Amino acid sequence: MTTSLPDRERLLDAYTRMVEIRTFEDAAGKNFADGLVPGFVHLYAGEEAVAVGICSHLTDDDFITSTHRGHGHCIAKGVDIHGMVAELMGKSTGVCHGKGGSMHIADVDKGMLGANGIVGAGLPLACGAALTAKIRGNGAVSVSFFGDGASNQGTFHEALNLAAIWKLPVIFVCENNGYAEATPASYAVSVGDIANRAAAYDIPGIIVDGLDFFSVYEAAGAAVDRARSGQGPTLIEAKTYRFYGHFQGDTITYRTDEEVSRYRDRDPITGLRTFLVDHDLATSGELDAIDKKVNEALARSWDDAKAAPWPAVEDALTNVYVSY
Amino acid sequence: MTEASSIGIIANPASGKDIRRIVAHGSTFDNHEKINIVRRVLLAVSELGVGQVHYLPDLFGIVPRAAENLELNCSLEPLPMPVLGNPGDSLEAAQRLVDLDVGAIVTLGGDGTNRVVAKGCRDIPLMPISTGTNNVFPCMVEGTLAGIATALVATGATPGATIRQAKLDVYVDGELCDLALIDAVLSAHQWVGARALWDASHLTEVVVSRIVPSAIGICGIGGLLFPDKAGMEGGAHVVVGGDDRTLLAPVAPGLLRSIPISAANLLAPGDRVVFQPAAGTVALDGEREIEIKTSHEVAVELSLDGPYTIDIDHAIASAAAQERFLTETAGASGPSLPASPFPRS
Repeated sequence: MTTSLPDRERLLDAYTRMVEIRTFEDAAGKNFADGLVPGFVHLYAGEEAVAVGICSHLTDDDFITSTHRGHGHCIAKGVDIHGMVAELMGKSTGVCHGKGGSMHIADVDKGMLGANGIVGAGLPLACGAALTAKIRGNGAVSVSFFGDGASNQGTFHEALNLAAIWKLPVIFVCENNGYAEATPASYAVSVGDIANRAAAYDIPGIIVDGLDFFSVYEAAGAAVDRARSGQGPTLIEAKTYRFYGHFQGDTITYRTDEEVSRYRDRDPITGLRTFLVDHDLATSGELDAIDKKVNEALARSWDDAKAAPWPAVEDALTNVYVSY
Repeated sequence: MTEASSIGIIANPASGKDIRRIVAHGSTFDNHEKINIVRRVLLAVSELGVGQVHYLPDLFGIVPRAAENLELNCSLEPLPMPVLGNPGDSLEAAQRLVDLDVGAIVTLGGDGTNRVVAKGCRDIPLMPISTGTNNVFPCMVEGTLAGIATALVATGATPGATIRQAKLDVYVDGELCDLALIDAVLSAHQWVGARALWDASHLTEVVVSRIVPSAIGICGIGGLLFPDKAGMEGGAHVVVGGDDRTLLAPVAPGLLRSIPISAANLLAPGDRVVFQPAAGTVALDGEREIEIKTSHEVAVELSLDGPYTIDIDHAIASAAAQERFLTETAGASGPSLPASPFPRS
């Protein structure tokens, strides 16, 4: 296990991914309001350090399962952003040919087994992927991202139990952003800290600061090493915050402006940016250039998606069911 | 003993849940057990003349949950403060308890929690109950006994049952910027991140405020190097490195590491150590707190002006010697006894 500072290239890649997520989400919110995105969008802005801190330790051979708030996980795992934009718009050039939309983006080649509109549904899927890796003995791991609300679902408890008895190489990452839709976790979670629930299944459970890239990165490295070396699952509870509402259109009457402002003051991207500059790993100018490049690339993606064709009627039944 | 005696409780729900559950073998200290401990504290202080308990209103509600279904003789008052779920909560709570002039503060946490409380509690004695990972400052003590000792001190029943602890004042570029109760460590680890100091390969210099050979964590290094000075007034400075000798030390729960020792010196109160210029972090009481560059000058000074803690053995023995736990029963012969705070049923 290394605790050395990641090299500059790796840190700049992490910064770029976090900026990509933020830029993607800001634009998704705006374009949803403009009527360009059908269905619902649940934005991940504010939680970037979690997805990127975890996925920095994964390769395309590792699997993740995601949630209704899955854009950040997709980007962190390397799914094509250009295709994601088109997918949100339901266009044929989308990652899933426009049939998945915001809540069902998947790219198996990248190890992204799917966002999921069903709360808590990704946890057992991650166990399945981990079992595959264990049987094949290929050293791969799987990660399940889920929220504080999902930790109250039966699937959470079933998955942790199964992973524990079979010592599966899986990392359960609870993104506790404080609210399950509008219900405060402080009300709905019996144990207060979701990490406590790990003890019931005899696996390690820890809390990390989900607004700090390095806090997540360090813990994720240890948990991934543990899984790869056959020591079994880990539960990581990342205390984080979503800058937007549960979904776009949420009136957000359940939290105060002061609370939102307090968390925005701890913006994880600003935190990593400050670290990079303070440690002479990048100049402000270099980081500004990354911001600009990401902005321009995503603007082109939205323009291209607007011009892209809709799926053809004759393709309505293709790629819907898997043939065995 | 006055009816109006009050105490404070600062129970940190986050203690005992850091990365050392993965990289070492630390126990997970769940909130339910913290509630149980606080419940026993409340029952004890309630019987011993404490009239009011002010507490940090943490997001989980450890103290009110502990009081559920109890018939207490004391009232519970949450401190009127915003709770952010970070270490600043404990500091603000300590400062507010000072303003309320409580007689003692019960803390639940590890060395890190108590360090934060110590920054704000001034001369109010602490009853630190261990619920953390590395615990040199707080005690592994049964909650009822902690509550009894706390009440005895807070009500003035056992004057002198406190001990003034040492501390380490930490200066960066000449400015006092923080303190540690147990140890201050220069680490080559470049980021604060998960905070807990667990990778011994990054250790560069260590200053400990006390010589305790049986201590878990980095603090034990000083004690293992100077076992004959155990319990003395003073600390030690250890420089890590070199090829001459190594020390096997329990740097975290279940984690024994061989630490190369380049130099080691005892420190007297008032002695100041200036760390060699380095890029990395300064860890205080086991948690990386300050990121530093080679251009920074970091100095650590040993002081005996740390927080007061309650001496449980002294407090309870002193009260027993005053026969405060005895009650004269009807028809008994012999000398009369003073009124006991423990009414017998």
